Amino acid sequence: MAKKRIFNVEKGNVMQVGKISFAIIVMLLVFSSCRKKTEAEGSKGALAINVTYSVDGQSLEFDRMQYVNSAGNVYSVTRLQYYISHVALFNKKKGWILIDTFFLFDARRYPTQKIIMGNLPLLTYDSLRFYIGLPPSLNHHDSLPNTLENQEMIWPEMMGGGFHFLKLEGKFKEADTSSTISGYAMHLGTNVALVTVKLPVNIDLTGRLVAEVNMDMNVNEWFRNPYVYNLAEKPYIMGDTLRMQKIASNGQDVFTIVGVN
Amino acid sequence: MGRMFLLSLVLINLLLISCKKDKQVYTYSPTPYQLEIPEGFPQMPTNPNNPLTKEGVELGKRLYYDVILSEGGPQAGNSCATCHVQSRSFADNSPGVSVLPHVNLGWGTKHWLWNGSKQGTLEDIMMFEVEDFFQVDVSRLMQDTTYQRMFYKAFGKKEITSKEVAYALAQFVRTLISGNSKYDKYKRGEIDLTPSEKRGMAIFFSERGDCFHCHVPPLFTDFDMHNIGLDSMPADPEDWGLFAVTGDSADLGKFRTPTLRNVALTGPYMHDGRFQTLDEVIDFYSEGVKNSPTLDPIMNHNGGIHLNLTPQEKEDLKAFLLTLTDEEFLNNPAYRP
Ligand code: HEC
Ligand code: HEC
Repeated sequence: MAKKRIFNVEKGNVMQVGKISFAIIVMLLVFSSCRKKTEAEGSKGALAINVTYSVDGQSLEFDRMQYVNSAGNVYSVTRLQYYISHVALFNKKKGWILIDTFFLFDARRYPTQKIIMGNLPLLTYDSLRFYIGLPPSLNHHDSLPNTLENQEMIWPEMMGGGFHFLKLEGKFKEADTSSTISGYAMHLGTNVALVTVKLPVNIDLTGRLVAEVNMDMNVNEWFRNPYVYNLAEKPYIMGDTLRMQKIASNGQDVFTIVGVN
Repeated sequence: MGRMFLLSLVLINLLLISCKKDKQVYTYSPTPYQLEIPEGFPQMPTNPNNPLTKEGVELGKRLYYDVILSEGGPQAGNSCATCHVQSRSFADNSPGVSVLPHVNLGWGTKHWLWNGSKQGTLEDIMMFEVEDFFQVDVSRLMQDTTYQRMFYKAFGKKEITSKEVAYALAQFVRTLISGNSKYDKYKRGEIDLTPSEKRGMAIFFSERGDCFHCHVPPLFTDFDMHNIGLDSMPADPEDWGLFAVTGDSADLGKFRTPTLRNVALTGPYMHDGRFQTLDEVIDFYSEGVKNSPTLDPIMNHNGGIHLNLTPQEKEDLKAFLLTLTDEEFLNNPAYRP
């Protein structure tokens, strides 16, 4: 199955390119053949997403104990890696158009990371949806290409298997006045911790072939809403289903759209 | 006149023949070398500037074992193999700075050396080894007809520079692949592990021991830099790790994760060889980790920095580490001169 997927991920490159899977092309063909063809359906467009990182308005700097979350913890970020997958765009007439693909992000290596998805119908869209993590169909050991980058994200079989959806790690003090500095590791994995992100955004692919969306992750949102998360309560959540689900819920609004070109 | 003409014909012919012979000896048509990548391993990143060839690997092996490379000349008597000994996974057990083993290094693309002072490809670190660490005197190789021939056959060049020396060494070291340990055989479903080894594996690959986050299979390293808490305030610059390289206080005590393949044979352990046995290493992870502002977050397992393993758990974890020994690799005749 995995081999049939059209992956085109340039390893170690900032630019990662994904494509609509065969199944979807076939589905699209079937659907469009039932209707009268509009002009737009002949050609295909591309969507580029640039991802950046911030903490409540400041751009993210690694290794610096300078951020304060909603629980009052003072913290730094030492690692931020995650997958985005199952990107879909919403068109009023056609509904959700799914781009079956996945991308691995490493914020430390790429403070701005660009992904490009091609083969999109030239339509107007008003929402963007994706997972932080991997859909169940991709969340088992041999579903992703065997690269060192993916190996590092593996969630051991003993703990349910699949891949880490998120690794957010750093150091923290419970409060500004505390003297002890500890580590925290917010790791999400297994299907229960999948994060769905849905963002309203106007993407117009009728007038041109490429639309570019700038999207920013505010790290503080992982600790804010709906659950104010105090890192001192439990700094290490891997395998703790309840807390992983809390962080996953918080993850729904970590991204905001900051621009569309 | 006629005789002179004949003579010169003969002479020219002789010259031609000798030239031809010369050409035959120095043909440059290298044979591609196919690496056998063990099941479950990612493809090895290749270096387009240094494709593997039989001739290159052969040359690299000869250089690896040859004291001609010695800093200070052959009389100094050092080759790479003096410290990188096959039966010890190409490390050794001398005290002082631990020798890093040469096993699966072809997959390394991030940090090199214990303190991460070098980055890049295997070819890049080999350039450092040849030029700076060994300060190889290339003219010695140029004077050796066997090497002249071998370098020509491998790289098509008559001029030998430290680059060709480094590239040949890199080619040989790329062939040093270990992927046939008891653990690998278990993963391939060929054999079973003992109950103790299995319990140890469960500690290694779960939040109980949390070893897998840095010692990532199948290489059992992430080639990345971490402070695992050997010292809280390292006084000796040898213990500063990456901080000694970057001067960034966030890097204090960070060292490159070593592979755990053949770890039974690579003691003494840690960058400075401070632990003699695996038991001591496990005791350290269990109750010896020291907190500091740069201690890796992963070392904060479930809130406490000590794993507090039971004696049984320690035995099991050690039993698992011993399954990473690959006898075939340690005795592979292809790696010998
Ligand atoms: C005197 C002992 C000695 C000799 C001889 C020696 N090495 Fe090493 N080698 C070491 C030690 C010790 C280290 C670890 C040093 C460090 O990290 O600071 C090392 C590290 C390395 C590394 C880095 C491995 C890694 O994982 O980062 C490479 C590559 C290497 N040696 C190649 C060579 C080559 C090639 C030669 C022969 C030209 C050679 N060495 C000869 C002792 C030696
Ligand atoms: C945060 C990353 C990290 C974790 C987690 C981790 N290690 Fe390590 N390990 C390292 C680093 C880095 C070193 C080298 C440290 C040094 O020399 O300063 C090391 C060294 C070792 C060594 C010595 C190897 C040698 O050749 O010298 C052994 C054995 C080892 N670790 C086993 C384990 C076990 C068992 C666990 C789980 C209980 C574990 N490690 C967890 C990063 C890690």
